[in-house]
Amino acid sequence: MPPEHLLRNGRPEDQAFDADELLYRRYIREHLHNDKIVDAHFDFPRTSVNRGKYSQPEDVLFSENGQFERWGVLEFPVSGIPAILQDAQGERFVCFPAHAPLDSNYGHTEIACERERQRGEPAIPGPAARKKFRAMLSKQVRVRIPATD
Amino acid sequence: LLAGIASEAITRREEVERQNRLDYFGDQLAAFNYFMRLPLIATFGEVNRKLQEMRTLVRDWNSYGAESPNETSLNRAAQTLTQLQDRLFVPTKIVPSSEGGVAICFIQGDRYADIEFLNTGENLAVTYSEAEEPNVWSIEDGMMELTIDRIQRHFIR
Repeated sequence: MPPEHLLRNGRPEDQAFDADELLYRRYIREHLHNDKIVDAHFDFPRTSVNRGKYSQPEDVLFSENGQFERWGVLEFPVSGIPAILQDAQGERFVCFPAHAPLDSNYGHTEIACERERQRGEPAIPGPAARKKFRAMLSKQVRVRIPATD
Repeated sequence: LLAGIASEAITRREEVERQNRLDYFGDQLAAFNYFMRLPLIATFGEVNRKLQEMRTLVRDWNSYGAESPNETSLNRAAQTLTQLQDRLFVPTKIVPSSEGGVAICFIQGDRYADIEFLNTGENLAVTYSEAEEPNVWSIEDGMMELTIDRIQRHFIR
């Protein structure tokens, strides 16, 4: 069973994020070099993270079978998410954290993306714009818990 | 007549000796180059081994639902490694991509670049540094050599 504080237990979504709230994500050692995370670490959009308001860094390493024993944890503030992304055609996208609680992980959050001219509808930018977002995000990341061999 | 024949024989012998010396130095140079390249060849061997290991990855290898690299991305990455080896341009690492694919990464100090081969067949590159915003471009067919040039220039600025 996950730790009690991770369980949703009927709690509602909370879409209020402070700019300095930390977001956590687990990583494998291969994706890190001298404290620099490669942008290939990230998928986007709907990038899964845990929000610091409702979870601790080590919570993203929880598993029933110890699957993440050697994994590490990255952190970055909400303000580190590039808020606006523009593709080569000039289309502008808005990127933001969206609380997406799971029954077993209340702090679960996704980095969402919508067209600026079509708010409320999820959007998937083209591969080059997505890569730019991933590279920008990877510059904002710090290692919170180092992965081990 | 005899003097002429003797002179020609001497000239021929000198020519043979000169050629032997050139062959000797050529062989020495080739050997020198070979031994200088050995560590790099070994490094590329290791990078290729890591690429082959990626064939064993299964879906969700990153625990966030990522696809494993497919034949398209693996083969394109292997071809690019050959191009890099021809230039003795050694990548820092090769990793599976959470977008589904393979990334060849170059990292020196605060400078970063990679070439990413997506399972969808799209190939992308990026360069950036601590002070620079990421510069991303799509790599069209036949443009890999230019992409490698551009990445090499990123590291010698």
